Amino acid sequence: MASEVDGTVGDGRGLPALTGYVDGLGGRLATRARQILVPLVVIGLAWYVGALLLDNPNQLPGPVATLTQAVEILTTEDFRGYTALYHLQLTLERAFISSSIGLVIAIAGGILLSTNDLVEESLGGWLSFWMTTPTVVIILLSMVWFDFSEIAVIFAVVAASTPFGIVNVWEGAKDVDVDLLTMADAFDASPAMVWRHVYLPHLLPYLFGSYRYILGMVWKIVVLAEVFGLSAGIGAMFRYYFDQGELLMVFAYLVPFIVVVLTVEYGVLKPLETYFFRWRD
Amino acid sequence: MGLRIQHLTKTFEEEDGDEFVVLDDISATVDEGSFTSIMGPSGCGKSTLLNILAGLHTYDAGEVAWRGETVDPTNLPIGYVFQEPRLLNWRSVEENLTFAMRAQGIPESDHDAIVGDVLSTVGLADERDTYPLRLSGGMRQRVGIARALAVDPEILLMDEPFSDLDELTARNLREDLIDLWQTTGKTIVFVTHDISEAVFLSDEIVFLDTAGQIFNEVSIDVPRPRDPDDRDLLAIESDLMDDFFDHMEALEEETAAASTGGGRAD
Repeated sequence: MASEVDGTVGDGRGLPALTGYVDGLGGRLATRARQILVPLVVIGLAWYVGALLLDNPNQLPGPVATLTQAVEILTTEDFRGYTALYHLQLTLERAFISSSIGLVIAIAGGILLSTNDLVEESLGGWLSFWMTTPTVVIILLSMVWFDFSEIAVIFAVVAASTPFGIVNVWEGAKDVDVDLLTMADAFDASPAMVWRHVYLPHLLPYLFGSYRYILGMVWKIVVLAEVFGLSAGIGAMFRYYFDQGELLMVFAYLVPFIVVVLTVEYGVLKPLETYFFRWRD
Repeated sequence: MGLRIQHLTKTFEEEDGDEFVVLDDISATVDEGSFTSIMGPSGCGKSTLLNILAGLHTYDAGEVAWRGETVDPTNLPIGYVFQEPRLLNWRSVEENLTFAMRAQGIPESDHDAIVGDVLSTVGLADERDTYPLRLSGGMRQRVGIARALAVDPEILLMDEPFSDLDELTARNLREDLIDLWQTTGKTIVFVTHDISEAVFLSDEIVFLDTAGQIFNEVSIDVPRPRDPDDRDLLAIESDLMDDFFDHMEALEEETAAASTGGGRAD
């Protein structure tokens, strides 16, 4: 890996800016690899030792058996003719759609709360009530209301996760630097320019925080909703194999799920963050 | 003719409903191309006056005229340099300048040349693509000045732009500001509470007091280039300081007398 990067640097000689960028990229990749690999190795070892000590695959299957089984379910079809990839895809689609809707509502709600006094006064207090409603209650109710359909999952996730996003964006918008607004005013900047160059960049860290939070909730809630109500998706498989007493299968389905969650975090969110916040030293 | 303000009055309403007079019937003239400082203690309304000229605050009565014609201050051709740099930290130095130029409707095709021009004027030609947080405080303030120059204003309004900097940096910037003023011929209105700064920089100094009135106007006739430690400047500075303290003392006695008088009347 490192030698590949070095090769690129050699090709780019005479282009100092590019060389610097590639060097930086190599460094970032190394950091990223450390961030993922070190915890993974530690967890793997602890798991291995734990399984060895417990010596009961029905309580804690070992890592080797789990990984073998994970490869198995990813490559072969189950009793209904689906591989784990299909279930994973379903779960991911639900998570992506509901977190996107959640983020849009969070942005709209947060901005509305911070710009409109009437909305702030009438809704601000209800947010904490909304946030403390147990997630399980929301999931069960939406299953009943939307008849165990796809929409039920999406509704449950959006309903349970958005208030946190709204509060985050709301706090962020209240915190905007008034001095910068005055500056923009002194140069006669249009409202559109103020939004694009002052509000949006200021809100971006809050949006990232919100999205990460919403996504974190979404993984849990989607799977939980699938456990409660649906016949397909990773959560439904957890439920099915748990009922069968096949803990190894539950663990095996967990593996691709975790890989995806880590990929989204380190492969998408972190690099995006590094890019957006490159102006911070 | 330059910039003329006549009978300008501004009152703020305090939280308890009392009216607080910040500017009380102010009249002054700033010659075109001159360097004029507005000097006064904190809370005397000097920044308010500047903000009115920048079109950021409204005023209750009075008139502002530029080159003999009465104008709405929002239409004055100004560039504003703040006490803090007030840069968009998430935008490069160049983008900070284009922000101001775009806001002022300067054609995009001119931006590149103007950026190069004003950045070399403030000595930051190499920092075009740098993000502000990687610059020192003094350099950031230079970017703030470059941004104000980028919109090619006739009048440069400066609100204590060097007061947050260490003295050494401030000294360098003051000298560079004078160079810049002499080459560009801009009219500069400079707010400060630092008398030696005012004396070193200015052609004219207008003194405001805490009652919102002008109590002294002086011309500094020391030839340029000036040395901040020049004996003549120091002498002027100390005389003006005496005048200032005498006036403030008198003002305080007056206020004290007025408030005890008011107490008896109640």
